[in-house]
Formats: sequence, structure tokens, C-alpha cells
Amino acid sequence: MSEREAAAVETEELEEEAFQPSIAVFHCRWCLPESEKVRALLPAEVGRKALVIKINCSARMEAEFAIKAFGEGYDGVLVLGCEIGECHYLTGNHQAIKRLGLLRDLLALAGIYPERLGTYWVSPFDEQMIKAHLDAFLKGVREAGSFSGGAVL
Amino acid sequence: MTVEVTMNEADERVKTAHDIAAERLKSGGVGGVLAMRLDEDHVEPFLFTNIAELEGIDITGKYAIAAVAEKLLRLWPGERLAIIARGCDERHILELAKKGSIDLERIEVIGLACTVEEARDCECVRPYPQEVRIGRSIGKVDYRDHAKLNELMEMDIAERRKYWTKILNRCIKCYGCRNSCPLCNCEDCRLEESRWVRVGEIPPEYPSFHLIRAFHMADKCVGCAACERACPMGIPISKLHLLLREDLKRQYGYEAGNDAEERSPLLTVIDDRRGTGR
Repeated sequence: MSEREAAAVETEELEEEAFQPSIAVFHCRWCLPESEKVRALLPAEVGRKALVIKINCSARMEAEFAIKAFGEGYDGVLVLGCEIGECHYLTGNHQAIKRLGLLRDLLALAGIYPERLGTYWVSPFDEQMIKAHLDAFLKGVREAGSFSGGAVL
Repeated sequence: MTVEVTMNEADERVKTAHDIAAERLKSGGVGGVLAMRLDEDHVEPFLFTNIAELEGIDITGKYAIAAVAEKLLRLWPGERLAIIARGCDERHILELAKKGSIDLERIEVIGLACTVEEARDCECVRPYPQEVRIGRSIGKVDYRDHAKLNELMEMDIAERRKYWTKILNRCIKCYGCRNSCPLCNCEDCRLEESRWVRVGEIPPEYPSFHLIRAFHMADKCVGCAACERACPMGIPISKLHLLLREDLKRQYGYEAGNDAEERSPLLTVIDDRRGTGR
């Protein structure tokens, strides 16, 4: 292997060392109908291994979904639903906001950084805003670190 | 001297309980009085139907008796029941009524106030029923006065994770916490579904089992601590429930078990007065 090739391998290894969280994404089918488009909004290295699941409404998001994701070792859980006032079922997202807010409080009490559960209420017409939300969420998850082990819990 | 006074007070409480129950049986209108009974070396829930039986009435034992009342009313259609109930028992009854499992017209609460010691033992913040007929209410207790709850609140998140993973590792998945709770009684239980909790694995993986239960109970738990008393491994699980209860009180002014007509904030729309959650 030439010196140049060795250097390239080394750089690649360094890049891999940057923590890329595994996340589970649950998105409402009314504001974001296509899972692959949601995946494409994520940074490529996160999107590649993300679990992206379409749900009928953010109100379909049960606490179990998130709890199980953490149990399976996902570092973060992201819920994307419609903006208040835009819910196809009128108030599904009202309940989702309350329920997931409470779940976040429970996670904190149980020793799981609440930043690991991101909930954002988005407009399909504002991709920039969605990307900004995703950045904020991933920043929080990276700070919390890997869920399933290591010194940073 | 103090001991003697306490003894007298305890005697007086039993006598009051006895007299009220006797009066209820005499005046009719109820099929019986449901209360605790001392039977040699243990206490148990018992349906008193005649005055002679009342000799054995007991008010020291803690037992989530509302579940028994629910069952009796179901087995005994058309009959009414009187029940000696602590604050938490009454809240159970009101929550069961909210679910449609108990008809409040058919149950008559004889309120029993807990003593300071009893309240401390359960970390109870509201150790009295709405109308106290036995004993004296010690009033509301601030949850921050409970050392055990404070201990958890003072930890940071990483410390809490260490704390819970260590403690929850003791769990033998006996389902005692679920079975002892009068309000945790769904016919199909998520905790028995392999999709959510792995079957045949002890201890259950962190965090599924306990967090699923804690979340399901969040807007129903009335803070009776029966789950914690039932736990053979001494897991202080009611800490999570009590603090979630405080959380709902702080955010939405909601307390389960206060009023059968009041709806859980988790089922209602966001209103402007209470803010938008997050």
C-alpha cells in the first residue's frame, strides 16, 4: 500500500470515529408522505442506518414505540408531525404533544436524556425549517452519546 | 406518655370504624360493609354483613381494597356497598368510576384518614379522603418533604440511569406491581406481549417493562404505593409514579382520583391557558 493510500485509509477511519447516532424516525403520513424523502433530509451517514417508519398521525405514536427503540439500542427517537391546526384528524397532534412531553419527563426521571426523544411539528412546505429541527435534534443526541454503553450514558 | 396517647388514638379510631359500620348495617340500604379484618395473625379484606362479625374490624392494614369492591359490585348486581376507604382507596374508586368500572351510586365511602406514620410510609401527599369520618386528617404533604423522592430529583440524568439500571436489575418479572394495582387492569396487557417485552427473560431489559408500565399509569396513578409494597425485590417503583403525578399536577393542574368527571389532560386538546406542553 502506498503512503498516499495509507493516509486515505487513516482519514477514513478518523471520520468513522465521529459519533453517528442510530435513530428511529416516526413521521406522520399527512405532512410527510414518503419515508425515503424523510430519510433524504437527514445527513447521509445518519440517514443510511436510520429506521424510518410512517405512521398515520403523530397521535399514533405510542410511548412503547420510543421505549422499545431505546431498548433495542437506538440512540435517539424522532417524531415528526403536522403543525398545530393542520392535523388531518383535527387534534391528533394536540394529544401527541402532551403525551410525548410527558414521556420526555419520564425518560429524564428514569435516567435517559430527554434530548433523545425529539418531537417537531412541521410544515411540508418549509424544508429548511425541517432540516434546522433535525440538526438541533441530532446535536442533542450526539451530546447524549451512544445509548447502549460506554462511559457516556 | 406519648405511646399511651397514640394507643388511645388507635383504639378510638377502631371504635369509630366499628360504630359507623354497625350503624350502616343496622340502617340498611347496603348489602354489607367492605373493610379490613384481623384474622389471627394477618389482615385481609372482608365483607361484613352482620354486626357480630365487626369485632374483628381492622384499620391498620394497607390493602388496595377498591379492586375488591369493583369485583363485588360486578358479582352482585343491584346491590349497594359501603366501604371503609383511605384517601388512596377513594381515589381508586373515583378513577374506576371514570373508566366506567364502578357506579358511584352503588358505593358509599366511609372515609378513613391516615396517620402521619402511615402517610410517610407511602410517601403520600394526600393521605385523607374527601370526607373524613374515621381519624383526623393530617392535611396535604408536600412531595418535596419526602426524602426518597428528593434523592432522585437531586441526581443528574447519568446518575439516575446508574441508579435505575442497578435497581431494576433486581426485577424478577413477577408482575406483582401490575397485579396489586386496582387501576392497572387492562384485559390485554402490553407487558405480556412479546413485541414489547421479551418473554422468558429475567430481569426484563432496560427500559421496556418498567417504563411502559410507568407511562401507562402516569395519568391514572393515585399514589397508593401498592405496587411498591407488593414488590418482593424492594424496587422503589412508586417513585416514578409519584413524580409523574406531580408533573401532571404542575403542568396541567390534574390529579387522578380527585373527580370522576374530570378528564385526563392526555385525552384533551391543548388549551391556551395551560400552554402547549412542548
